[in-house]
Amino acid sequence: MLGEDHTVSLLSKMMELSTSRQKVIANNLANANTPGYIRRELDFKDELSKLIKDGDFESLKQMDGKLILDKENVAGNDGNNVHVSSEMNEMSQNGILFSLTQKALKTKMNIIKSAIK
Amino acid sequence: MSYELIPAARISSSGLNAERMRMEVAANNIANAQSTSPNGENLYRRKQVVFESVLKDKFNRSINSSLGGVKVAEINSSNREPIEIYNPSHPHASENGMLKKPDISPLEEMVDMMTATRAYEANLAIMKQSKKMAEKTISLGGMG
Repeated sequence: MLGEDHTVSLLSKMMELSTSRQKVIANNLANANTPGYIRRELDFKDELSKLIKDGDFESLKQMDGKLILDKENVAGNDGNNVHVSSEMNEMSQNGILFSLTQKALKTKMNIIKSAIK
Repeated sequence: MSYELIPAARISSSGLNAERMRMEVAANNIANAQSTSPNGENLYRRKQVVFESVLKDKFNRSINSSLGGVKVAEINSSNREPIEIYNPSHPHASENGMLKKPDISPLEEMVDMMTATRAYEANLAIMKQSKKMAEKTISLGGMG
């Protein structure tokens, strides 16, 4: 790894988590018409901030977030609480987060490349 | 599980398949709205798809293997009673001139078709975004 600089591992972990969240949103949307389905959410904020605070970058490489059931959304009369509109919102937010981390990682790599040259 | 280049492609395609199946069943119901049978035996009955989410939490708790998308659990025949109309000249009419027709409401089928279309679009949108994400990941390896 590049000395004490954890930018690359942090950014790639963020991209990984964003990819996992994309899967969770896809699963919610695929089940938009499944009776009794409770929407799932990927929870990693607290774990991630704790690991960064403690500087525990070894455990950070292993973490992959937790799937939680989101029971706060109001369920329709078939017991399904997926709202397509809010999933689409989550999806765009997640896409922007992914682009942001990807751009940051690309910039970081360019910095390293120009240092090598 | 095999390696996935596009995240969630498998999940989204299961959603697309399920919604397409719902569309086909609605189309089949509408197509058979006027079907009759001799004396009303083995008359067509309204079909309905039953979705079931595929979850494998019990075996493996990692995110990649616990999200399985959706599947069509069964195609169920409704037990709604057929409607009877008086039409003695029809070859399928019973002795007292009553003809049995399946109780299919075009409105119900239209609503089903509309929700299936919207859900299909939503699944397609997330598939498109997942593809963009994969392309962006690959572009990291490029020059510049």
